[in-house]
Amino acid sequence: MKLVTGARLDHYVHSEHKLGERLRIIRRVGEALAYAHSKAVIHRDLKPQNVMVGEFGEVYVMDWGVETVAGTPGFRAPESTLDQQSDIYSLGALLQFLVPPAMSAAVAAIAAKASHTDPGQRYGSVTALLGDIDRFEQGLAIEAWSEPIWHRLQRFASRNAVLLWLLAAYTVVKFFLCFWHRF
Amino acid sequence: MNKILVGLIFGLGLGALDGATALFYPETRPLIVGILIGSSFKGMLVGVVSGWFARKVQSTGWGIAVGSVLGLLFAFFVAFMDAKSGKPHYLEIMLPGFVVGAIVGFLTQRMGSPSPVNTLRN
Repeated sequence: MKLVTGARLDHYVHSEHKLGERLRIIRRVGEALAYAHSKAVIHRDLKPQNVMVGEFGEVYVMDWGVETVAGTPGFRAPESTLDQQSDIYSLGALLQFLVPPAMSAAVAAIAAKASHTDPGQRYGSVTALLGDIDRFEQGLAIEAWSEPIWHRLQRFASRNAVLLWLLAAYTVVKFFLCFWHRF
Repeated sequence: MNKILVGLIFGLGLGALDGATALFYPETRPLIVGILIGSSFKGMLVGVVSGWFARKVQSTGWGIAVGSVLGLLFAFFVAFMDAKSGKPHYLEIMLPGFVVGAIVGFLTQRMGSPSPVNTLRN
């Protein structure tokens, strides 16, 4: 068995880490989970104590598929049988643990969808969850959240800031020329 | 859609819109058709060259810089030719041309598919 040096996620989270770094960790965990699911392997007990961050930022997901374990309260899905959907629930709970709602409402919505009590309401796959995280990081609309109009405008302005500034500059130039011409 | 085509379409459209603002000035209204044609053609040229540049160099900053310089240059030629026929309008033509060029330069960087060689290289 490999000896891993680093910090458990429940300790790592107490250090100051930006949202991007926290999402990077979730993405690494999600990629490992997606690969395992593609091989019909489920984790069964995904939680902060089973994730480690190495000294170079590498992410390890440990304690895979231990038959005797039936999950950990707070990270275990409510349904009685553990399957890929229960792993998605645990990943959502992990995301909620790592990214508090105060950090980002959109990420909180992704976590809430992933950890919905009804398996039918969760993401269909880990890849779908990771896709929403990717869209969030690119400033695009996400599947999990029907955002309010002001947030949509804010996101549009943020993605198109340069273009909006150029259009504003054109408008100012035209107004200036119009008044300069008249007076 | 390749970047040259993006530049052509946006250059043509924004050039036409820029030319249409001449309607706000009473003395230029009779000349609006010529202004529209000239402005659209100028925008199209800026767009094509900016699009070609965008295929070679993928940098938003440089795209805006090149677009604005091209816009200024072509606007100067138009203003120079216009000055020969009467009262010069260098500021009214060059300043908006500069900004429209910057917008077209930006759009060609952001939109359209890059050159296949650049894609392979990246």
